[in-house]
Amino acid sequence: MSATTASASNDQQPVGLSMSQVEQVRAQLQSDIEMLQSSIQRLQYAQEGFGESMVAVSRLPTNNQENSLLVPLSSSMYVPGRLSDPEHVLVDIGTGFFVEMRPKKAQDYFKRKHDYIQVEIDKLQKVLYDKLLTRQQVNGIIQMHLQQQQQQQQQQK
Amino acid sequence: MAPDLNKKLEDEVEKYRQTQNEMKKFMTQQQQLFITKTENEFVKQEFENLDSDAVIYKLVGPVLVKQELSEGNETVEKRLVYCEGELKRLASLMKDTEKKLEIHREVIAKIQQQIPTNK
Repeated sequence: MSATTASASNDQQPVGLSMSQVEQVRAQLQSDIEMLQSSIQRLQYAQEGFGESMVAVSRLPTNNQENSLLVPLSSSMYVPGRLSDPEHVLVDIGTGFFVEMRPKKAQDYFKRKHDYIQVEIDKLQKVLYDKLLTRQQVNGIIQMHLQQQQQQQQQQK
Repeated sequence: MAPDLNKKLEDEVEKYRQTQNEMKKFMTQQQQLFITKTENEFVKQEFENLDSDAVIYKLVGPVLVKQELSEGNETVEKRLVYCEGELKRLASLMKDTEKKLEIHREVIAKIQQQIPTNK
C-alpha cells in the first residue's frame, strides 16, 4: 500500500506543482478538516440531546401508582411532583411547533432523529477520513521534496 | 495628474470594499435562509407523519397556543414559499453584485495600469 502511494506521489511531482502550490493545497485541506471536525462535533452534541430525551421519555412512569417524580426548581433543589397525564408528552419538533404524543411515539421520534443524525455523522466522517488520508499524502510529498533539496545541496558541496 | 489618479484609485477600492461587504451580508442572509428552510422542511415531514387528529401547539412568545394540524401545515408551507422566494431574490442580487465586483476589478486594474506610466 505504502509503495503504491509513494509511486503515485512520485508520478505527481513531475506534473509540476510548485512547493508553494503544494503548501496551498495543504492549507486548504487543513481548513476543510477543521470545518468537518467542528461540524461532526456539533452534530454529536445535537444527537446527545435527542438521546437524552429518548432515555428520559422511556423512563416515564406508565402506571398511576408509581407516578411520582422530583421536579427541579433549581439545579440544587427538587420538589416531589406527580404527572397529571403520563399518557402524553409535548415534543418540540422545531420552529416553535410542539406536538402532543404518546410516550412510545415520542420515543420513536427521538430515535428517528438520533438515527438520522448518525447517518449524517457517518457521511461526514467518511469525507473527513478521505481528507486526512490526502493530507498524509501531501505531507509525504512535502517531506520527499525537502529530502531531495537536502540531497541536492549536499551534492553541490 | 498622478495624485488625481491616486485619489480615483482610492475611491474605486473603497467602492469595491463596500460591494464586497454587501456580498458578505447577502451570503450570511442566504445561509440563514437555508437553515430556516431546512428546519421548516423537517417540521413539514413530521406533520406528514402525524394522524389528522393530532394535537399540536405553536409557541407564540412565551405561550403555547393550540392549533389545528391543517393550520400549522399552512404556516409551514407559507414559510417555505417565503424562503424559496427570498433565496431566489438573494441569488439574483448576488449575481448582480458579483458582476459589479468584476466591473470594479476591471476599473481598478485600468487605473493601476495608468499610474506607473505617469510616474
